[in-house]
Amino acid sequence: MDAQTAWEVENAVKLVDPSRDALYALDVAANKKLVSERPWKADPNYFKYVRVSAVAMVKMVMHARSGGDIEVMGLMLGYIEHETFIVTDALRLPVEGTETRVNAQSEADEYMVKFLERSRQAGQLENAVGWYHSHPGYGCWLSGIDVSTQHNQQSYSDPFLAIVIDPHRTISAGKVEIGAFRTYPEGYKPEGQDASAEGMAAVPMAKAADFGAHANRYYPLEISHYKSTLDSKLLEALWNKYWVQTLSSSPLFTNRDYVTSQIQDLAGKTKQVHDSIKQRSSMGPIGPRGKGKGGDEQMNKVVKSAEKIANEEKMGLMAAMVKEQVFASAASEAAETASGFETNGADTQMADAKAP
Amino acid sequence: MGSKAPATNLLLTTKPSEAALSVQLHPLVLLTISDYITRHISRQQLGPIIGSILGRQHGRSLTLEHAYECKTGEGDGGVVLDREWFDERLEQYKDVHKAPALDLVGIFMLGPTQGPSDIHLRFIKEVQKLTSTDSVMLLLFHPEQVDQLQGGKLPITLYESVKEQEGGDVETKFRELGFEVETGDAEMIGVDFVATGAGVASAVPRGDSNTATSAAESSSKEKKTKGKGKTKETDGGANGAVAAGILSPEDEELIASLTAKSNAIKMLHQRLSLIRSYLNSQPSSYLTDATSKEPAPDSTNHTLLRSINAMLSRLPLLASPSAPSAAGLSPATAADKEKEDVHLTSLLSALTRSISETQVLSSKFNIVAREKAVKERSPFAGSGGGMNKGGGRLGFGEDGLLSGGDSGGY
Repeated sequence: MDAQTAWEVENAVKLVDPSRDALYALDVAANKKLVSERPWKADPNYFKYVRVSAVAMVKMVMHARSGGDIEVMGLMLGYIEHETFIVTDALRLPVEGTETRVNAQSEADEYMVKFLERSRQAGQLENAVGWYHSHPGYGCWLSGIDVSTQHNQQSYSDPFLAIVIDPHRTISAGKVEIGAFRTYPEGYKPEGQDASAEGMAAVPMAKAADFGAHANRYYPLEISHYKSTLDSKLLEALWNKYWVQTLSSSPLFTNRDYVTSQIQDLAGKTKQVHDSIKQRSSMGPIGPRGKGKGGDEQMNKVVKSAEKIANEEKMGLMAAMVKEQVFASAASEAAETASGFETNGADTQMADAKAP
Repeated sequence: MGSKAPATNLLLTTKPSEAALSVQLHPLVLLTISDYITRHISRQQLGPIIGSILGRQHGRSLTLEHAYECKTGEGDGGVVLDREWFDERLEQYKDVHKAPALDLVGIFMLGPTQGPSDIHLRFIKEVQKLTSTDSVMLLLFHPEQVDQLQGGKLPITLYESVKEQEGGDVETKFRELGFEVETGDAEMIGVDFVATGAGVASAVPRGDSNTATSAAESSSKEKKTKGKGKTKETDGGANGAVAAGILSPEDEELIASLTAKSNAIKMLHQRLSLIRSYLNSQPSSYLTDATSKEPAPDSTNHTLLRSINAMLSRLPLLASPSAPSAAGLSPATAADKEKEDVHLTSLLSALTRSISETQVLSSKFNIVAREKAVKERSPFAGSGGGMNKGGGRLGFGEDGLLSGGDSGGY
């Protein structure tokens, strides 16, 4: 081992905390064992959680944003644990406009294979564990093409995960808009209508048809991110620079347009639900029962998105109130003390010039 | 032989006309380096930690935007970069970073605070040869500084390499560069998102532990938002015990945003007290004591005092006027209107929820009422069909009612 590596081992090893950075280690043998057991074959809902590393998260969001209005896609590296996907890294693929083309992913096959091979040579031994793509402005869900792509991947290269990012909503909401999904096997009927992703009410009406047609062929997974202890320390140092922005931001004001459009969309959906219920009730108590559950689910979604909007608004108000309490309530006293010193400003300037 | 210490002194004096290189570092580079370090050490990978940094250079301004790790191998004279691997990887990255077009602008390595040593020089020279450019920056990450970070200083130093004539020999020396941190909008949101959640990377609980503890552990992982990773939590055993106080995601978000605000306010307070203590430490002058005739001492930093003064005189301008502004709304009423809007949205959402629950209730009621009516009407025709339709549907214990009715019918 040369001198540099020795120096590194000595000085850098304390940067890592083995228990709090456990997800960064890779147990290749254990992973292989879990993959060969294939518990997801028995239970289509086996995978429930996704943990995305900080680096992968930022890379994916930036890639989605860099595509502008064009959909972009990429690959995710990682491994699996009990009921969880762990995404450790993400890489871009040189493909664009994935929503209108069925075989977009195969164009990038050569790139993918070479890239993964080189990564493995460099010591990054994770497998490809999923793909991500962007839906600029129309929410996180799987379109018909996405569903068939993901279904394909799950048939041949399981375990595989699909992640969708909406860069436009991310920017306007100030929060990362991301969703993770897995498809059900052919012919599998999920019990209840839990399949079609609650919280997915944020689909614009224009795309609702595509959404609705495939909504019960996949289910969402819960996403959370993780970062290393070193990441946390660096981010703390970084974020000290942004305290000015934190204080001066007024989310109620900046998000006004976004919230208005959300409310508009919600109003439209409410009307839809209203119409469908009127229809149902007009047929009287002998009406077809099939619609019953569907109408309820729609109603539920409407309720959930209404609550989401209300929550975001409350957070914004909280921010404004905090500032008011801390700064403005003492404003009158501050004004008094300030007027006491008002004249000194001019004096100091002149004194400087006069001083010998 | 430290190639830094004598170099800077010499270089600074001989290059006054050189326009300063303005460098903008993006947080993603830092995150990538930190992620790679953690992975490299966790997995006990071989070889030194070294990687490339991609960015853009326009004249004297330089950005450092992306980074990736590099493969090393044994070569003549010790550890060297794998050339073929290096070239191909650079091509792969340039392929996907075309708009804006990124290129290699530097490399990162670990190093001591004193500065680059021979090994860093060796790698820089190698990369310069591989990319046939001279302007390759060196970013040194100082692991020993990580635990003593204060006031937003990052544990990295940036160096550019300069060629120097020293008695007939052209040598490469390093000069330290200042840099500032810059983010794009998406990057800012992404980094903010990962910074404010807690997201401790502790291991996923195994399936063999009973589901209660694993559910508790995963939900307490969710619950640990301590914005900016300040408080350290104990993992393992403590997790299960804390599960009782599981917070909903909205509560966590609230806590995280409030913590962020309180940190920001603390920062503001810190800065203000710094200014105040500086002013207090100034020697007395006519400002403190109107009769004193002493002139200000030479050591007074007039520029600093002037800027403090300027800031203070700006404050009354920034304070919101109580008189109505051009929009016809004073800020107080505008704030009230905002409050009303927020309360209105929460009222509407509560209303929506009550309506939906009423609707569910009424549909269930309808089912029960209908089944009762049918059952009373005819024991055969109604209950058979009724049982099929109604039995599978109901949520709350009406099954007992139906089956009771059915047996009553027969």
